[in-house]
Amino acid sequence: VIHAIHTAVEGRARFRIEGLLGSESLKRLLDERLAGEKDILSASASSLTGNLLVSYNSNNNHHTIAFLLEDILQEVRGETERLPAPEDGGAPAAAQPESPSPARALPIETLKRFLEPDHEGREQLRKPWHTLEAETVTSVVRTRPDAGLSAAQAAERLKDYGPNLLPKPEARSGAAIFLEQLKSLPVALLGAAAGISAVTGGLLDAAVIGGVVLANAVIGYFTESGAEKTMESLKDLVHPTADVIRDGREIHLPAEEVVGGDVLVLKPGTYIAADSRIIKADRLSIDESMLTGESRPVHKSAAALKHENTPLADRENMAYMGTLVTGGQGLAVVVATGRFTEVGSLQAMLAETEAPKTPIELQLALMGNQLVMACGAICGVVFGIGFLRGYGLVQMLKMAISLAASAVPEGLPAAATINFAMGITDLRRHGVLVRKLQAVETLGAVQTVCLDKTGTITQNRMSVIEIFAGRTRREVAGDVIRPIGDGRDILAIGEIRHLLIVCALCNEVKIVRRDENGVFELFGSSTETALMQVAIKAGFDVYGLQEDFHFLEARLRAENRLYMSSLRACPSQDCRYIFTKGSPHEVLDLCDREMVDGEILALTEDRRQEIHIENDRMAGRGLRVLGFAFNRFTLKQPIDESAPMVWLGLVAMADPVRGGVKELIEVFHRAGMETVMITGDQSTTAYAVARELNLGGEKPLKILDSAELTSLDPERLQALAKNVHVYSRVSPAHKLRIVQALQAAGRIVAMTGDGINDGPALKAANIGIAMGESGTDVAREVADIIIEGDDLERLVEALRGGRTTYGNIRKSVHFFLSTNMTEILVMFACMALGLGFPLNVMQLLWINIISDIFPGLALSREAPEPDIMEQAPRPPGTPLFSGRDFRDMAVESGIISTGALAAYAYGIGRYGQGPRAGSLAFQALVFGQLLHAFSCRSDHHSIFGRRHPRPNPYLNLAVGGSLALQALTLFIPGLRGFLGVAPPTLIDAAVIGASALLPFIANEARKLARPSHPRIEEVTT
Amino acid sequence: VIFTSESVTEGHPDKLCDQISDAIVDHFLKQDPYARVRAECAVSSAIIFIAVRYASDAKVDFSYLARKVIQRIGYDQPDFNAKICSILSAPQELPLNMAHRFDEDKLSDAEIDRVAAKNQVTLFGFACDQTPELMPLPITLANRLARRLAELRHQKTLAYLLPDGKVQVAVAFEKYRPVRIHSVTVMASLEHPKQVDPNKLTEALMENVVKPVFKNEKIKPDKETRILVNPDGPYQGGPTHHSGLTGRKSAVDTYGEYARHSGDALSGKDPMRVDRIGAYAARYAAKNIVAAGLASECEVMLSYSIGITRPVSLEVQTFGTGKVPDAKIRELLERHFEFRLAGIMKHFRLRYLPSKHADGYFQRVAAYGHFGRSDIELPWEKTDRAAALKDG
Repeated sequence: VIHAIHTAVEGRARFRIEGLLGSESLKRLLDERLAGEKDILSASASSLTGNLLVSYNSNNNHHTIAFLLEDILQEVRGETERLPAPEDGGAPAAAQPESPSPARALPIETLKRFLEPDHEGREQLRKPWHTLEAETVTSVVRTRPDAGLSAAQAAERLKDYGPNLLPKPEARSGAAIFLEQLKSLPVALLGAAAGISAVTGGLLDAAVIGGVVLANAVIGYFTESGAEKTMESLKDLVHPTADVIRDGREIHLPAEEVVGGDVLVLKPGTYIAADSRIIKADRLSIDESMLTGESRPVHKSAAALKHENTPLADRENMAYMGTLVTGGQGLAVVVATGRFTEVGSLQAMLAETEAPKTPIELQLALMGNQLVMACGAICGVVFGIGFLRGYGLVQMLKMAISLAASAVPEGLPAAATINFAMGITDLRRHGVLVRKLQAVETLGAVQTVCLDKTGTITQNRMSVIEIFAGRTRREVAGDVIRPIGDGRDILAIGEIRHLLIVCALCNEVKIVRRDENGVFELFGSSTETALMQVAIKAGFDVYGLQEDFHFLEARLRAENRLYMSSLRACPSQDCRYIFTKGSPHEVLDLCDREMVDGEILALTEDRRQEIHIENDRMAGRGLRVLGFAFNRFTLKQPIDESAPMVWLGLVAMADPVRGGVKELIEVFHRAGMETVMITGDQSTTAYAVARELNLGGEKPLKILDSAELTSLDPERLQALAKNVHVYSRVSPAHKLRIVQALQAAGRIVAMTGDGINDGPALKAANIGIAMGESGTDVAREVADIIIEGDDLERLVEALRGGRTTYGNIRKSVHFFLSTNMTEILVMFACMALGLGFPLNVMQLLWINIISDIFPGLALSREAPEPDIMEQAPRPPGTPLFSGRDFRDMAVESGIISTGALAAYAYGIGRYGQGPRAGSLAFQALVFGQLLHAFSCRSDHHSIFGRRHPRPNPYLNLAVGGSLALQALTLFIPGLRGFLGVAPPTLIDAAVIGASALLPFIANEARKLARPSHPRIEEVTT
Repeated sequence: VIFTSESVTEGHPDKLCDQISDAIVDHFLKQDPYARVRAECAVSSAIIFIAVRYASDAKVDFSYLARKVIQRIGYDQPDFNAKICSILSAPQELPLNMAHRFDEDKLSDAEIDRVAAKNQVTLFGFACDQTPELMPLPITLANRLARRLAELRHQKTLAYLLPDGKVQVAVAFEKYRPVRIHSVTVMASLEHPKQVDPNKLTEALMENVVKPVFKNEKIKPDKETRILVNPDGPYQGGPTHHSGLTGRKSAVDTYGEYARHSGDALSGKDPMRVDRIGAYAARYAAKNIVAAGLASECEVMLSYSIGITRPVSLEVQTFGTGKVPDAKIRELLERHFEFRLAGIMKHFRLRYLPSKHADGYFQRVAAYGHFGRSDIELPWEKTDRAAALKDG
């Protein structure tokens, strides 16, 4: 019952207590009980991990403590035994973590529930399910494996246990967001400045500084709460569903309505809705990477395991919430829902931790802090110089602090958040739903785009266009097989008849009859729908067929078995059938006879060759080709699935490539991204499509054909993946390996998927893209972005948006940094040269508000630069700004500062040191900074260049507004007095104009000299 | 003098590559006799690389063909088999060149004269009367032993053998005639190195390989002949242990280094490649000379130059065994044999052979030698010109 798991440290031990896992009640009980034990200094039990940490005094060792614990557990158990059994469900036995008080009041009662679990209690039963036999499990949870729960039972349990939902982390409140704004280093600096001002008598200064802080916080609050809302709305984009058996019928319902005892139907692509014990498995494999981190799908079985302490990853008969079925089929009985699931307890652990920051946010936060330090240092130097030059201590202190406050870029991390929110909103307008904040950032760095062939590249509208059976090629148009030659009735030809029967019966499509005239609605994959259509159009009564041939069993296509079979009994013919369809090569290999003109003949080597060549011919046209076969057994014979079968023929289906995809591939290539196509089709089909699309770009196409990518050494796959454009015959479950290999090769990978088994790969990809229309819930659940309407063009928009957002963050930050630096430079230079203070405290604070925030924010609304999709993606891991970028910014600031200093010098020459000269510097600096906002729109498009970014009305508005405010300082006497600005003469105005405009022109001219962006060729070679 | 020749089984990685390359050639020609194709293959662990340049409308599934070959050879180990291997193919389509798409059967002599060689190459054909196939004895024995080794696996007589094997035969010569077998070395790979007791393995291979092969030979191993099985300890074979490449076993393909041979690969080339079919023509000429009794050993050398139809040089060397002067034989060859590219194709009907053989044509010569085969009928092994040569 008790296992010591960590005893290395003297005086401390960690024990695993059986039954503690998930039992809030036992946790409380242990905590209370152990607190009273004199040998135990402290104890902490965790129902999340099932562990108990004990610190004990030196009279004990971990053995004695283990005995003590055992006694305590024993004692409690004894107490429960003496108690009468509670009445049926009558006692308020609730012990859910949310309602701790009844548990405290009735500890024994609670423990009773833990020791003799009663399923009707609201705390869910914990049992070592994996060690119980399937029958035991079903009886414990009171369900029937064949019929499931009844609707009434399910409703009752739903009421008792609550919905199958995971606890949600709470959103930040408005007040929290506002307070967050005040918790930063720059605000602390400003606070200090205000404090010093207040103490030294400058109450007005203090009030102004307070106003600055407040203004910053208000702006921050509005932008961030807007962003928060955008993020919050990301959470409710998808609603997982589940297939369960209730009242003997398979029904489809929202995953949150699943209750304990429900029988889940597991199929490839199924998202496991709740923790469950597998009771039936046929080649079932499940991807549990989200729980265990193991990327290979785990093979599952229904057999009970021996050891109770089998690690989670090895519990072969359990299916855990949130994992994905990647192959095979099976049934499972739900044993835990909601917060009682494994993932639920994990989430509970994580719930308190904050949403992780994106790399850019982290970078900016770090950069911000470093800049605060740097500013602080420089201001200290300014202070020191000023002090040495004999300025008053208090004056210098105030000056230095307000300089620091105005120079410190307070908006850095916010710049990223706001940009992300804007990016998400923009993308949504383009039909791209972003589910994860980080996706916006990553989108801009995507280097390799993995595209699913079916549904992404093609329309996923299959139609049969050719049948090759009985050595004869027949065209199919509009699902009707064209008669040839003698015009015999198609169904009179044995092999065609059989082939169509296989089409109809070896098929997972659901048929719903719409009216009596034989109009059907079909629900299923496009391939199978197409096959069913042909059978219906040929005149088969598919309902009648279903009745004539009773369904016995199905063997679904699985990894490493590229065909499916349906076992059927036909009482009217006294025999049983296997109908098989799948990869032509594999199906042909199963056969040793063929049907020609209704007769069964031996399949000669020559004939095989002919069939292969016919298959190659069809596949070479980019068609999806399937092979068909059947086998017949008398009722007495056992069905031997490995017995050689009878070949029927090939069916070729066309799935037209979407219009415009070829051009889009070209766009990807121009943008320096590589395109990779993944398909389950044979390599000839894949090659034909890839060639049509010019998937390889300039390079010759390379195709990797592998039905078992998992057997390939990951390092080798990684080496190969760098060059491969097409993956053929890939099981969807293996897409994950491709993504991982590309990532290991250092690529940032985007991957599209529509859900059948795509989940793990979508999750692993840097950008998982769910195609909206055809996408399943699984895909939408794990994807980073969802493309509405399956339009690949929107993916280009998304990538463009990602790059734009990244670029705009750079632009905002660029502006913040370079302008703030000018203030420091101007002040520092003047102090160093002994030219007094060009700017006073009020002016510095004014600059901080007027010329800093609004243009910087407006830069985040920049439209994409015209050539943004002609540049190579930024290499992964590059910092937002390189050393070069910082040097460039320093030079820009230097130029602007020189302008302001020139104006100041002119002012000193004309008016001598004092406010008149200072106001020249002030005006020149503010106008120079505002003009610089336009420079920051692009780091390589100059106003002298040929291509210009689209105008940004927000920037025009922001700069225009700031300019107008700045102009007011010239004309409104009150404001002039407040800021200590003198009215300029006409010549002064000309000087100010020139010293603001000339740096702008110089900075724009510098862009011309700068080498343009790294082109694609430079990066790829 | 002791002369050694080596052969490998079809499961040797180099040979595996040769066979995949030729299976691709076969498949192209089957669908399109005028296909131009150059198929090269490499294998390393469970990855097969296939590079194919082709000009044809035929649709060929390279990876399927490769898997077929692997399956036929019998690789079914967990770490390498037809299913789990991954195949990287790099097809390169070239535009159809109508100048190559002619039916040589319908060409006049003047038209054949206009089909020039596209490669610069010097080729050698050789024949000698050491065996009934008119091949050097060492390579003939080595090939037979290797084939026998593989058969044992296919027949499941020695099911523990892996498809990869290597055989070396050393024959003692006196005055250029083989006199005795000096040694036979068999390297047989096993699934698990310690699966079989080395002594038992030696005994089994002696009984099932060496003895049956030498049963009808004139020269048999004697008491002093050293028979070695895996002398360096267990032989680890197959692509998991050593990699393979098309065209690296040109000695096994030809005369076991007893005679000169061109270093160019024979496999993976369509019949428009003179470096492949020129070697067949040279062998055909040499073999007929020996069959006609004009010499007991004969080497024919052909040199082709790009843009020139006929070989720029045709040399005959009989190593002193000629009944008539070499110059005279050369004259006879010029009179009776066709050495022009289209002429050779026409004579051997090479473009049409694959479509006549369901299990492939060229891929069968890609293991156990292109020459001196007694198990399959090859047009260049016919001695149908011997009579004409005899008549002068």
